[in-house]
Amino acid sequence: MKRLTCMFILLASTLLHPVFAQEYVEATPAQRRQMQEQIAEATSRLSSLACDFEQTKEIAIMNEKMQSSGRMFYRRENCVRWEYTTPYAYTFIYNNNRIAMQTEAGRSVIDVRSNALFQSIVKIMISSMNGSGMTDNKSFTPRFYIDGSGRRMVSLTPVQKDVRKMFALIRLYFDGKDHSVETVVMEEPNGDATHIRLTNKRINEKIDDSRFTVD
Amino acid sequence: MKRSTIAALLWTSLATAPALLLPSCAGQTRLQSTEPLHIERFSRYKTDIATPQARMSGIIFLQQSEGGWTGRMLNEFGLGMFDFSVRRGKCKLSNMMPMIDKWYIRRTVAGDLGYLLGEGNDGRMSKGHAIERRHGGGFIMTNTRRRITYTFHPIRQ
Repeated sequence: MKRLTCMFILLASTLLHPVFAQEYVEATPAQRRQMQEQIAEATSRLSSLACDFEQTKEIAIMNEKMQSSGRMFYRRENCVRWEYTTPYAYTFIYNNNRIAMQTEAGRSVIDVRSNALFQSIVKIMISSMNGSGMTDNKSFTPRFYIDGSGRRMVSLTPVQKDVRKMFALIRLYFDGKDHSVETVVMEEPNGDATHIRLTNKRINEKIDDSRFTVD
Repeated sequence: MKRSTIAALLWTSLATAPALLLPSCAGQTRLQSTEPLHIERFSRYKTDIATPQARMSGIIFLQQSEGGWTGRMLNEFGLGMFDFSVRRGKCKLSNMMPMIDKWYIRRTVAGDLGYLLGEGNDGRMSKGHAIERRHGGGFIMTNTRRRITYTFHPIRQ
């Protein structure tokens, strides 16, 4: 009986180990410092990022999921282009405090300097790409997590009240090799969540200015 | 520029109420009183809302339930813009994105969605609204008093 019990415990811990290995636990102070240094170094080396993305939006109240995909371009002077290609065409460009939004119906251009909320949204987008949000304590409260296999995650809680009405929490999952952002999860106060996975990343390639033209 | 300027730009036309010609596009037909819209029970639409001064766009998720409809409009990034429920032609909005949470926007959008998912869906015409079909199951609703057009393209996944 004792032998059977021991075998059961051994088998259970072997089967359960992979599950525990995927759980994130809060980083120790030393681990947090290491993460901050590695991500900061990766951010400082990042002058541009081009990638594809896949997005899944979960609507809690309606038990719905929506998939979309597209391409994203980022350049260090805070130029961003999000381009949805499936299942709809929509392009968002941010450049020098101006935003252009292009749909099939037309194009709108606005200046974000007069709107603190829009500025926060852009900051979140840029932080999601280069991880810079974890040092921006005026905008976010960061917490650092690590799992059993060494994968890193940073959660960002917005500081500003108006932004918290839109995002309860943002989680950035980092690539274990190059410490770049791999997945972004945005959780809303109403229970909805948006998962964005960045794939086919091309780092520090030249990106033409025309990608970021607002007018 | 004041903080509310962006929202004001979106809805400036609400302050005026001239009678205007309805938009007309090739390939569209105006619904007659005997032609219900037939919005599907679970549907998603790429939606553009346009005033003469500004435009906003996103995706509307619609679900028919007993006695009415519930829905959510998101922008293309997936951020919630507002939730709504319609019962017997009356629409209530909730969880409005701060940028558009203004009384005049609430009142107008609630009135327009209430018509669309009430009388409009049943094929009944209204003095203040017009609906035109588009190819592929889409349609355009116009608030003729406020010069606001709502364009709906079905998203099929």
